Amino acid sequence: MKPLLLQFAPLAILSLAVCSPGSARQTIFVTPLSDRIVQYSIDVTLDVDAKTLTGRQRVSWRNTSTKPVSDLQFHLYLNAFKNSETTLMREAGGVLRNNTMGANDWGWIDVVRMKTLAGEDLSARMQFIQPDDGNVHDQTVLRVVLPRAVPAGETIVVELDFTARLPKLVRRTGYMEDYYMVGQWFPKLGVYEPAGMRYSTNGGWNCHQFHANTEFYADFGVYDVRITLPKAYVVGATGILVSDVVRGDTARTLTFRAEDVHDFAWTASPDYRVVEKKWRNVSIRLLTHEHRLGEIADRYVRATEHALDYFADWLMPYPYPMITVVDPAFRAEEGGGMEYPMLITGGSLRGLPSTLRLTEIVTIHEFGHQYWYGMIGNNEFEEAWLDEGVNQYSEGRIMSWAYGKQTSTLDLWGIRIGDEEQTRLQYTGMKYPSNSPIATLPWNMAPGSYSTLSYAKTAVVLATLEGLVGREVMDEIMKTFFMRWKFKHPCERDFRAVVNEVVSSRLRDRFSEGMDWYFDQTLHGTEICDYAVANISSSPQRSKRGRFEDSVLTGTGRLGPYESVVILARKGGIRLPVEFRVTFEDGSTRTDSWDGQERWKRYTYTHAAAVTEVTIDPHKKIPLDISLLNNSMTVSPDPVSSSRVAWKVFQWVQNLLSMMMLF
Amino acid sequence: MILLQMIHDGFLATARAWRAIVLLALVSAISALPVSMLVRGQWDKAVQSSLFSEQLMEWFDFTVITEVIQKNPGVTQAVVSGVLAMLLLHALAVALVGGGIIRAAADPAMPRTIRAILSVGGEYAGRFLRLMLVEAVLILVVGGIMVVAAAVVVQGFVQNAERETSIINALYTFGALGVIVFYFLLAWGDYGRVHIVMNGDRSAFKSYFRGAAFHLRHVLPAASMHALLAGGTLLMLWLHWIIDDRISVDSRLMIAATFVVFELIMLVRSGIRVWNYGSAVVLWNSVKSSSVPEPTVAPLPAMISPVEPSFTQIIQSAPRTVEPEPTQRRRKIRSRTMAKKPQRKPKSSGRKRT
Repeated sequence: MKPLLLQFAPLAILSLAVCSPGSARQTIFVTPLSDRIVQYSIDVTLDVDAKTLTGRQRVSWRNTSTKPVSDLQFHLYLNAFKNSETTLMREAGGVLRNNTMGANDWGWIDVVRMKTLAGEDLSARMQFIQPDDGNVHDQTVLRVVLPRAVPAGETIVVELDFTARLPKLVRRTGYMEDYYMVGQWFPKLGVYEPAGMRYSTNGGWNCHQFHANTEFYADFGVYDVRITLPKAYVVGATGILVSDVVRGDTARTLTFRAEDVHDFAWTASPDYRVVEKKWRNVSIRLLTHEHRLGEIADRYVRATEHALDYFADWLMPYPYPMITVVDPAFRAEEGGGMEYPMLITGGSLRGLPSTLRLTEIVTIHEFGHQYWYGMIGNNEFEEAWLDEGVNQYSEGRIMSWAYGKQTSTLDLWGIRIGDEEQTRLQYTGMKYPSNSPIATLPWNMAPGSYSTLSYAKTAVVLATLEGLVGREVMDEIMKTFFMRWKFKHPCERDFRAVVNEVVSSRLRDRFSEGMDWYFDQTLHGTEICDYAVANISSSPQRSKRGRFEDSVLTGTGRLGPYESVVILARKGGIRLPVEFRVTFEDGSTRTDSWDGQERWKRYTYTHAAAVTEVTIDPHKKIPLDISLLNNSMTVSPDPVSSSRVAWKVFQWVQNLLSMMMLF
Repeated sequence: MILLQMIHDGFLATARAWRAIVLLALVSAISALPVSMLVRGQWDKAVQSSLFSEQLMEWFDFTVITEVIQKNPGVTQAVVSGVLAMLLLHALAVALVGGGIIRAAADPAMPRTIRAILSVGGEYAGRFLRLMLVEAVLILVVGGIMVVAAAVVVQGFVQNAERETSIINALYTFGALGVIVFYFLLAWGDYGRVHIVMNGDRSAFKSYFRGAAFHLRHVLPAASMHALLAGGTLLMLWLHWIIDDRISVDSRLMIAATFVVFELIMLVRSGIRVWNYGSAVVLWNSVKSSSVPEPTVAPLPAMISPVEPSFTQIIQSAPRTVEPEPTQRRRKIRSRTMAKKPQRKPKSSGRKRT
């Protein structure tokens, strides 16, 4: 016999669907894209004077494991901003992205009542837990011990009331005057990982506290959300607008529905101006501001179109019917540069030159998260690199494709910076590049290294992987991984499995064992990659001279071709196969490879002319190499190159000095 | 009418004093040369025998430049120190030639050999240098006040403005105001220099403010000529930038070709500068001749013959002026100090005065 609660579960789901205005009125996907483990129905009211949310939420959760589950665990992210002693605030040193919290800036969320659909009160069973650090002041995870366990395959529905106070805009959520970016705002279930899923051995909730350097992790499902707020506000949200009902003279209720997403965020402001454009069957809805209409709005839309185009060809067309792009209000930049399903926030500033492509970078990056995070639902708490790093790699490719490899970040007054170069330099410029492996829990990373390791170094590792296996195989890897794991929760092991599968089948002669050797070094190791040309020497072969057993040879003349010795060195700990190009004095070249295992390697060439130049990785396939300066050597440096540098300096110094003539 | 006369007569004076233009261009070129050689040396040291720098196919390849800087922090320090040292030396050089250039533009009787310009300039160098300091201090003080004011105003805008347009407009306004203030401070300095040369003023400080007063009294023609100077300078900078951006310098031949083109541009810029001084002298003369009949040009500090004299002749033929030279003043002071030591005879400067 099923427990009473669960006997009513099907009825509860039906009631959730029927009683919720707007829900199930409009189906987005006839065939679900995901397992839809959770279903949320939320009524929320925004009080713009008090900056509070009052909500009632029904959530259903299906136990997909083979064991009964006796509790539920919710994220209460807003409590990270409750006081100075939360884990997030402690880890951030009280300063979040250069913002300190003022006396009235704190935010929090209280679950005031929780009950089963049958009316069984669960409030007394709620308790805050701190699974990561035991910090008793941290209330970002709420555990509810159920009166009866949820059997395998069954669904439970709970109803809860909550009140929340939004913080002054921080970590991409909160308010700034009458601008609202409402993210991570409702009690949200963690992910129950059955045994065998990701790294789970016994099954259990994966529900981490909110840390300074972590993001989110949740199950895919369906959201029906009704937002009531003042009538003058323009709203953008995850999902599609199902209905917009005016209530009296001052209020309105907007109903949104989102399917096969794992989060729901919304934004509101009376100052939004809406720009809409269609890309194939996708509506691009830009929420911007009066003074940014025109050029800035166009840049947002074009960047979004570029990203839509690229991903459609590369992985698969964007499946949702809408993407909302939010241009944060002036002085609300803290809310910019964030991804939520079907909603991204960008960043722009009127007056910046159009060839400084910050708006495009942020837009393309955040749109990329629709794939790497939105559809590939990896655990951002534990493996941030799997979405941020992969997405950074994607951003570089798209920016190079759309705006030029060397000009994609900046192309101004002869100064050119490419997005991929910039990412690489962020890694190579690290003061301590060996301080933590990429595959480290973000809150355990060396201070200041989270961003570089999770974003930049991972992108460089992937770009180097592309260099090793080739663009075509890399594309196959990325597409296979995406198609196999979309709307699921993959981990590093799953990514590596796809890489190994594709590489070992496509490049059997070179990498028959797969690429674990590469990931062991780059994701889990802290060594650097640095190959160098150590020496070049050439001399003509001469006839034998001196006393031999049967004769004395006195020949002195040159005999035969040159014998050249090239010495390559591995200065870093990472071992990779590298190509190197040898150029001879007669202009001929040859390209060889070195497995890169030993600390140094000698190569001897017998050729009609002497070796004049050697270049390791001539096609720049290994951006992971931390120093490109020592990748090449010439026996006769071309003075024109340094003369060119000197000449350019001369011109601009003379210009500068000439300006002093004004004195 | 006076503006047209300034343009016309200033141009004629510039044409006469073409060697001053060459000298002006030479000063900046000679000053820039050691810095560029220093950069080249440091670059070679950093890059050594790598082929890396040959990837520098365009002027600013971010990877190459950043990598060289990242891996060789000493290079940056050396170059920055070199540039700063050169700026100081260049300031001295400019002070040395400035007086001669103004005199060459003002005085048709003065021989316009480079040696003569240098010789005359040397007489004014001390005062020009002091005036430059006055200018620099004023620019720093006024600039600092403006930056602080801008910061306060912009901060207010950030707190109260509804959109960034207001802040950007405020910044643009401050920027424009800053340019105008900078422009006036420089123009006043120019007329201060003209005062020194034309009037024989001794005090750089007073000259600056006399120049300022003169400029403000005749602000329309004076400011118009400086607007031409600013416009011409910007035009030449733009032309240079266009050429620099469009042409790929990848061989010695191209380096030589672009060098010629660039130095021609610098000559034009120097010409505009000398023209500006010439027109300032025209304005000064015109005003002074209408109020004070004679003389329009202060006596030359050196009696220079129209027949080109030797450098020694120029130096030895310096006239006695009404007021004692600053060097004479210093000598007097030193003499008083040294009088406490009667056993030592004051040293001769080696410069005989008649």
